[in-house]
Amino acid sequence: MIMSDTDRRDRAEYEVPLGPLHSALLEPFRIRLFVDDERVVDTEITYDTAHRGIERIMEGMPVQKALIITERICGICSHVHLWNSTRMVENGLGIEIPQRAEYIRVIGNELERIHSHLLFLGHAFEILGHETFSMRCFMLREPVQNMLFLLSGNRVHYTISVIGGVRPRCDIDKEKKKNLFEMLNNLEEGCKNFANRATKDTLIISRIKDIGYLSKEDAVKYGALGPNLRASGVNDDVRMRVREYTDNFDFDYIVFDGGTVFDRVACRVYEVLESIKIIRQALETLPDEEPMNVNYEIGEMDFSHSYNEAARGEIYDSCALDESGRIRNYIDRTPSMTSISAMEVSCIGDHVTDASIIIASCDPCLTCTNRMTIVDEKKNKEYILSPEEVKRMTRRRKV
Amino acid sequence: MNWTQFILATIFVPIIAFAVSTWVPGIMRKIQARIQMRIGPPVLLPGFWSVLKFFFKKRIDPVSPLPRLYHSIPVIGIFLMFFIILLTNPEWRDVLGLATLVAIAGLVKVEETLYIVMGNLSDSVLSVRMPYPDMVSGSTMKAKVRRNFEKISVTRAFKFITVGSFPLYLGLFVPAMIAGSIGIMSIANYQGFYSDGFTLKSIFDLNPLIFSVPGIIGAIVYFAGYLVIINEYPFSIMHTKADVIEGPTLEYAATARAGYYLMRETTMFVMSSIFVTLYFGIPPALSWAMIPHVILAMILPVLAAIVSAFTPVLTFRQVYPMSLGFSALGVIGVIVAVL
Repeated sequence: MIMSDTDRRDRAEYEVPLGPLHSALLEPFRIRLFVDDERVVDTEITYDTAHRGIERIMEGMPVQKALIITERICGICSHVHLWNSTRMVENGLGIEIPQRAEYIRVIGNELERIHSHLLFLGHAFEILGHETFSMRCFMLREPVQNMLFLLSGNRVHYTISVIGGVRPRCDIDKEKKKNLFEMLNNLEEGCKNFANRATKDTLIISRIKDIGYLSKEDAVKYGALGPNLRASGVNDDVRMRVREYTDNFDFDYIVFDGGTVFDRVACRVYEVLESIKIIRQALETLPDEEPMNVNYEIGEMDFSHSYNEAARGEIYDSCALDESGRIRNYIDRTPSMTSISAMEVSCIGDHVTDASIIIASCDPCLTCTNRMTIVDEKKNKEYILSPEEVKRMTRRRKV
Repeated sequence: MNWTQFILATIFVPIIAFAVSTWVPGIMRKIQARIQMRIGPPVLLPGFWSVLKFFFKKRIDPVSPLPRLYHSIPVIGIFLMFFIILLTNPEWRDVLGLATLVAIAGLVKVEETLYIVMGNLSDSVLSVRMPYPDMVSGSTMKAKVRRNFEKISVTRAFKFITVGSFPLYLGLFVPAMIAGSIGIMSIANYQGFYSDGFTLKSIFDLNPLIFSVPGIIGAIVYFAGYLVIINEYPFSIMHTKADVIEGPTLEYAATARAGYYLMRETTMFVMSSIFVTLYFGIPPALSWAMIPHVILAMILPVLAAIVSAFTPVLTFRQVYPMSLGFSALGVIGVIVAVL
């Protein structure tokens, strides 16, 4: 909640609760809009309806078995979860990775970013009521899904990364490379045309320009991440600090200054083109070697952690292994976790109808986020941790 | 007055309007689908078969303070539309002096008001009534009232009545200014239409107003008003799925939803039929004139489908200036017509 209770009561004429079941919400969460003459004066977002207890499931499991569960956190950014958790264990145990495997992991991540952004755009245009653009986004997304299928054999959960490298079925041979190049060229042409149309359509712009304003200061203060942060003028991308990217690829970080829905949409549109650039470089310079290092041993590991840039922003994985290589205290933090306050604050001052697109423009993935409900058996009471409390729990530990 | 003709027209004109209107949503959906590079549904599916399907669904009582009135509103809407199309029929020109643009404007206003009544009578489970522990999890009452989606739609419907439908009424009255009469048949007669001895060849002897400068301006303005009255994109904020889902019609299910579909498609056809009568000078007479009338009445739905495929839902931030712009254009049309 952003306003004080007194201010709210003075200004809010009525409250409009939405969800957790609502046709505009792809995932179950509750939004309460406090409204004065169809202007939102305050918002409250609650996400506690899809708890799956993934971290608890992983506790005590052998690491080779457990990591694949992280991929099931999300159906959209599944690869980056598995990659980051694998990377965290590899860092902790000091396992060397072939460069070819790093390239293939990057290709998987960028393809995933493209399809996630296109899914976001399709959904955003659907909320705006522009069915034609929405359909066009899904048509553009289909070849990306096909590319992921070609790369990994799956369209959703690709299971590319494994400790030591990538699975042999995800290796890229000559025929695969040729097909991927061909598909990438078509995709680039389609995306450029779409970017040109979507960012210049006057009616679309009139709907998304000047709404959902999130200032640079608020974006930092409320913990916005990924494209939401960059659309508010903060040039921060975890890829700047991930060795696999910094050592091998040359690309631009897309930053917009406006902080409105338009900027968040445009930021993602242009990030798609940058991702295509990265994939092209990776395919052109793919090292010729085995994609897997099998010479490693799993043993005791102190707390290790890894950060990576998913389509929605920074993800964080951390855990320790006991002497038999079993998971201890696994923590996984998804980007939507810290973006929720930013979503709340960016709705304020806009029309009720715009609230859905403003929240959607922050691209929440709430089912991935919902991790933990605290049950106090003595008091017979249950409560959800606030983002701040969760952030405190996931603070970096000394290794 | 020829009573036989009058009775036949009173029975068959609404039947024809009803039959033709079942095709309108299908045609619109097909065009939108083609623009979006999809096949789209069979033409009769959205307007006829889905209506028929809803008639055979299990009846669900709406959550409403006055469920019978809520259920009967679509029926009232359908009969209003039938009454409007009858007023544009040549046989009805002398009935109580009602066949004028003032009567049509009044009845359209009633049709618009129905959405306000609908919204006030609907109380769906999707917002305030959804069982969710907002109020027991330690939170305080943060606003004076908790309001559901449909009540927001009511506010929007009211705003549309006051602002959004200006272009429609200006579009209605531009032909009156050109013809110098508010009588429907006088406007048709001004364009050369006479029901006695009308054949298909007579179409070429007409002088439609749409081919004049004030006529084309009026037609453009009327089209904007048409989009507003049928709640089609981009003017569908009352029904937008982004927040109010279906708005005032959210609680309609089974037979009631079938009734609402029929009301909507009848409105689409009848408002287009008025356009043909006023701007092409061909009223829905029970004669050969009915054929060109029905064909020309598809112009507005087709154009509406094309426009809606390329536009998002506009909020009042865009609707106010657009309405102002089209109203100004309508005023220009009226001035040009007077000159």
